[in-house]
Amino acid sequence: MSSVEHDRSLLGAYALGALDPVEERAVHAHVAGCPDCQRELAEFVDLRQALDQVPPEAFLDGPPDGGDLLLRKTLRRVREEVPEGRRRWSPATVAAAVVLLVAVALGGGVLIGRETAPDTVTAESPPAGTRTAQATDPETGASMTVQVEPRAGWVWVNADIAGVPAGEKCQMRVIPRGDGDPLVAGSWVVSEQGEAKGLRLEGTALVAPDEVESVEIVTTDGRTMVSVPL
Amino acid sequence: MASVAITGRRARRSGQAPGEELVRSLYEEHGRSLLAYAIRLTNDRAAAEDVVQETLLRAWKHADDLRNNVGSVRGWLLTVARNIITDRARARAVRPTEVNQEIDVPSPQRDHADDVVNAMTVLGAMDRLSPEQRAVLVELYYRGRTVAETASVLGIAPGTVKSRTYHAVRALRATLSQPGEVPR
Repeated sequence: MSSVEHDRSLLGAYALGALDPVEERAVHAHVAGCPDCQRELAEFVDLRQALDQVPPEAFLDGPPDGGDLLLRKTLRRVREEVPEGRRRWSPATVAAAVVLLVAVALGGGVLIGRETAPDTVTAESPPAGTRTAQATDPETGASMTVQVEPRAGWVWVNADIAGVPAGEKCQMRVIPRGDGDPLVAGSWVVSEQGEAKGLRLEGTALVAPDEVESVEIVTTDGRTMVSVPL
Repeated sequence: MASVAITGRRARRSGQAPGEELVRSLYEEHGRSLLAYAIRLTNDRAAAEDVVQETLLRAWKHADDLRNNVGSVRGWLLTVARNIITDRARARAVRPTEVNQEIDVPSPQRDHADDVVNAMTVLGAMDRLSPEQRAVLVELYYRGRTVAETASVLGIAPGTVKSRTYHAVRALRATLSQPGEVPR
């Protein structure tokens, strides 16, 4: 009792459960017989409930690990959702729109819908004709979920890749039907982070959307990590 | 056909959206916090990244709310992320077809009406502490360190940790109990 008698400065740490057991017992013993401390402690316990509204992640700063891919994707969605009135119609944009309208006339309508009416298509619903597939390779343990979005005569590939060991130099390949050559849609080396938490990649390939047979991850020395048929 | 597509992409880039800088700076400052939080709640990195995108997109759409926000920006973003996650979970459980419905952004008015102290107001109140007091609270409470560990991490005496904690807790308590006035 004597050592902590009215040492209120301990009450904060006590209320937050941060004292060592010896001090905690001493404060406990003192508070039991001290109405003033009891009153203050009751307020601190309320405060602790308020503190619990805040998740511990609130105190991490900076951008996420693993590059700015997520930022780029987000910015892409921002651009897709700019309302008509706020869009800056530079001559280049107008020219592009004209080219795209010509493309409509030629029959490639999917991408154009997004360009001319960005508000009606949310980025959450992928364009019509998007195909999604997933596979895990039983031997390497690598897995990939792949989303192939159709574009006019080519494809946009979103891939979530997991289980590829750090240090592997990889390519994402899009395999066309028939005997066409595989197309490299991207290449990278797997980081520690990429091994631990997986990796999200985007790529493109000049192959007609309905001609895609599979997407695979192959190391630069030719080992197939995972192949996802579509 | 390929040339058409390339033109289309270039067009998007040249038409830089207003407010793109806002999204960029929010990502640089709060991205790690948001993503870690979303990963813990969803237990799914891909889903969490989508939640972060959606949160930043919403911040961009509600830039005025964010600027006039009475709590903390970080708190606003975390609250939006949590709302998106709970709403998606609910949509999956109850109405599988309506996953794209609009979700409310947090409003301090509503929270006042409900008399709820939320992450936004608490973080806002913590921003008003001195940096020294705030650091002690973060280490001691949110990182779960003992007094001795906190003292060692911050390079101060254990006694200082205790007294700063006491004053931090009292200051927070005072800020949060002011009726009608919201921390800024």
